[in-house]
Amino acid sequence: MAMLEVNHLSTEFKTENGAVKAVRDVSFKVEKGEVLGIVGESGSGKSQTMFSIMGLLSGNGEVTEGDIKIDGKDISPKNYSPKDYESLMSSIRGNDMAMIFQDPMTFLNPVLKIGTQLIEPILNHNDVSKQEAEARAIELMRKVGIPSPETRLNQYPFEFSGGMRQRIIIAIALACNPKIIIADEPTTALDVTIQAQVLDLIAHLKDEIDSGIIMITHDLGVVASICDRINIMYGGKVVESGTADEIFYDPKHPYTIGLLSCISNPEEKEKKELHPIPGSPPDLLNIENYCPFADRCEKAMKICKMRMPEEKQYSNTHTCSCWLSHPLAQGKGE
Amino acid sequence: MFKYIVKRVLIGFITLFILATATFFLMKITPGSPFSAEKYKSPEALAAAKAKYNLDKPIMEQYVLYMSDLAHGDLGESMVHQGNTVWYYIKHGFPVTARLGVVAFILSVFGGISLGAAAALSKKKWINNLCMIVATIGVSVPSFLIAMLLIIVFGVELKWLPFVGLTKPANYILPAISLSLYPIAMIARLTRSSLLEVMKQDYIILARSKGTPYKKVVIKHALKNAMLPVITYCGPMFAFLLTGSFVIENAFSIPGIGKTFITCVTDRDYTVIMGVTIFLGIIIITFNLLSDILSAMIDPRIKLK
Repeated sequence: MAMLEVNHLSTEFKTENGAVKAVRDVSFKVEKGEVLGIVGESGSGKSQTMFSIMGLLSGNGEVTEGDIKIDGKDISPKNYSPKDYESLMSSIRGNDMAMIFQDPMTFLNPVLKIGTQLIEPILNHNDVSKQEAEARAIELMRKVGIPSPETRLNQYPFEFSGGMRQRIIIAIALACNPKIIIADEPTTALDVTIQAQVLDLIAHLKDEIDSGIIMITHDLGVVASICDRINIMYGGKVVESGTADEIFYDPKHPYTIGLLSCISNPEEKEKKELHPIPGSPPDLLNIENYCPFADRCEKAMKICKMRMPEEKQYSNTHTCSCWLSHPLAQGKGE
Repeated sequence: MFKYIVKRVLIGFITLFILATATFFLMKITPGSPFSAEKYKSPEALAAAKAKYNLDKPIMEQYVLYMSDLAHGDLGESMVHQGNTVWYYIKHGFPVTARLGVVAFILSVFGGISLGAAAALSKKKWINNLCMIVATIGVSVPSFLIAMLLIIVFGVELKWLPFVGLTKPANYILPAISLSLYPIAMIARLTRSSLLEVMKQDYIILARSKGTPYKKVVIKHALKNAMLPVITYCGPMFAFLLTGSFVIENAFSIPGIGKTFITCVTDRDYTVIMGVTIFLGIIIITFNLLSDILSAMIDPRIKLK
């Protein structure tokens, strides 16, 4: 059974100008011990998909459709009253499902000691004393590579460097051995050298724990190093999904192909020009129901701006939603 | 921390020196004299009184004499009610005012924070509107009007509560409410805006992602951060409440220091004016320092240097 199963999830944000459809009909699964990469540019809905699953959408956001199951247990907001959902999620968050956030400088509470923040999820979900929780916290800090955890426990976030804070955030996520860990661009806000260290840590932890990990990023290079499978998101939809090999060596969607041509490879001997994708992502406010990438796609056809393409299955693991794969469009994509 | 406090105390003394000097000369510039014509009919008596209080000497000499007395801790004695020391006025007026001030302060802090938090966190719009209406009234309606209104409604018409003096606990209710309405309104507005800001912060999301229930997130993670601007306001506000309000003390016939202060100004009772001003100055400086120390205790990032 999949650790996390999301089916036809849609999320909207109500604004004065209308509904912003941030997530549109997204489905995916994460198995035990698997790392799923979710790639897309800013505003593609990748973070909001995760906030929908965690039930942490901001006030005007709402999951309008879809089923979410964690380890077989239904946690779709539509099946509970708001009050029941909140108390259910309080028992799930940090326990079955935990999140690693983007910016370590802003996600730790500046006025609480590191120890207080680290033992909080342990005390929330386990029937242990404060001393036992602290012992567990020290063990966690060792695990994520923080030297002299006994003294660090009594310090405040401002006494930690960015990389060290991110390790603390990772330790908080690991505190209750969650079934699913969602890492929302965990390296974006860090220096390049620290990025590598944190990625190493996550890759190392991946082998040690058997949680499913979802890695959100807009950096394909990051994904290549640790992900088993990859979902490419664009305009609130998953446009292509496959194993890392399938995505990197046999990309089908023009957007994926565009993304891959934006990666520089220092090992290549020939100088290759990078090709940025012209244009900007679609406005998700009152978005029309046709392929979201059509307006920027070099190979766009008439049909692309009329209807949403259907998903085509290339292999057991590889799917792509693009009109170019339609039998009538043969040869147009070359 | 210790160095910081010593430094602040030294700065406090300099502030007091400037305050005393400015008050001294302003007082001398103002027309009038503590010796009324009815009381001192003969010029000899007037001259004798002036000589007793050094008022016959040049103004600079008076200043030096007063400051050297002050440096020895001697505030002198009243020029109008001879035989009463200035300390006597402070000793009798201040405790009355302070008792009322403490009650009003507690009321302000609890009332203001709960009102502001309710306005910020409630999902029902009318609660937010109600809190903000109360806050706007509190800021804009002058306290004497509220005092009069409370006296007429609850004292005179309904006869529920006493409104003269401060003899019984029930006597505190009306003056404390009139005194604290303005600070309640200010604290409510500060708490509301600061809490709304804090609830948007990333660390609130992280706290919720740990499975911490909403109420606990507010109390443990949000309130502590949101209280910083409130504490900065509370220090001077407490000093203001302790130093008394002439209007309120007059309306409820409370023999506090605020009333003493105004009486001595109208009487041109030079020594009492000086003494009370310096005393109130000390209180205000002390509470400003205390609120800074408290802020640093709550927010570890604030380094007191």
